[in-house]
Amino acid sequence: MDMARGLPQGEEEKPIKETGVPVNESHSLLTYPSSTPVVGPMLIEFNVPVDLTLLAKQNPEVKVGGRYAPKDCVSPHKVAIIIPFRNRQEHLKYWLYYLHPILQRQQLDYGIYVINQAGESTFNRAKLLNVGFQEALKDYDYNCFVFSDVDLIPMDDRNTYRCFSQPRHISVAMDKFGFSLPYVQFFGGVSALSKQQFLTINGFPNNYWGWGGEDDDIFNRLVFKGMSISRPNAVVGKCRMIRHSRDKKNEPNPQRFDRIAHTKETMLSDGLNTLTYKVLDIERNPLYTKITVDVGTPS
Amino acid sequence: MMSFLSLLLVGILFPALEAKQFTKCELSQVLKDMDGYGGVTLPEWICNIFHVSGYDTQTIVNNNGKTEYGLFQINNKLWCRDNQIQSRNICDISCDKFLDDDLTDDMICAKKILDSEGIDYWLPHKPLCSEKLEQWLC
Repeated sequence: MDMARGLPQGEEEKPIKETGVPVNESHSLLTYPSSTPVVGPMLIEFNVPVDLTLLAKQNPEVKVGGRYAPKDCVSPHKVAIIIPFRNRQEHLKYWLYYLHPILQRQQLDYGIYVINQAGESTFNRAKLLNVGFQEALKDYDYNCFVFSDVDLIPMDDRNTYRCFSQPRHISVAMDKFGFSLPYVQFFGGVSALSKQQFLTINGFPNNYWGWGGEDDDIFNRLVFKGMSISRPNAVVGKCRMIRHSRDKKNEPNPQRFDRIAHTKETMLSDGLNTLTYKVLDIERNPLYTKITVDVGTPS
Repeated sequence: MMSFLSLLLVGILFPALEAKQFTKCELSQVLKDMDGYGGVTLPEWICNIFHVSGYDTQTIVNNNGKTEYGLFQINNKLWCRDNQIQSRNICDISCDKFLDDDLTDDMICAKKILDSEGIDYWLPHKPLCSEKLEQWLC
């Protein structure tokens, strides 16, 4: 099954380095990027614990707050990676361990933002992502936003964590779903929207409390604004999910199916334009920025 | 020795029922007799089951004072009996029978629900299982 949809033929194949500042071919000595190129399929395992201090040493080019930009070229991809979070430190450590080397090989100008929901109320993933969008823009003029669950790791670094001309679904072939797309309207896990795409849909809904539905709502928003989903193929798009039991305070949302039946009406009045929250803390760690936020409770 | 042999015989003749994570194709095979029942096609069933339980027979969800069990997420308010609340128990069955890999009882009860409440008992139907149904074929 071919997962790539709606892409102009050249778009998938163009390597990142060709879109950076070109090397002047009249020079007698060509300069090459100092990072290694992408490697393709990788082995992903979750059995050896991660030491973040050691990991920072292993990624010396990553600056405080989890920021990196390629030294030898100017990347057009200014990517804020937004991770919704609560009480998943072990997963975060694996995420950082695998993703920092990948993102550097992909030659992105990126920053990592972990958006931590304060308090013990029901989890609200989409609202945390809205917060991440808004807060990241206070740091830098990112033009692209990758939204990633903390427990999803790509198995092939040709799956580029950047934006495309259409909203990008990145986690298309998860091990949990037998390395295939569970349904064609699936937009959960890891996705990438350009700043413009995000603004066009009024961002994400703030009213999905508990597990499920918010990704379907986002899919609906995109479709109603005339956009389509861009995807890598199922080989490049393979991802591993760190197995875990269901979190407390993130039970399946019983309202989700009813809500997604009404996205068209609610998207105008539920999103970036109605986002309210309170930042309680910002931690600039070596490998990530962690923003702790009070997102309130279901009204 | 004799009791061991009888136990062995019982173990061979009556395999224990277990929880199961189905695949789409396994489920399509098991449910094929539901295709067309009450005007609901097999892909619609598969789609609804995926969205309410992810094909996992052990799915138990509490909400709004009721608990829903198994692939079809059959609730303890009207359809099956558990030790939590008083139930009409229309399917005359213990709810935990919907958590094992034998779907015969689940299908019988689901058909009763369909007869009585229609396909909208299954909430994914309208937003997610009314179109693009080819993807749910095996």
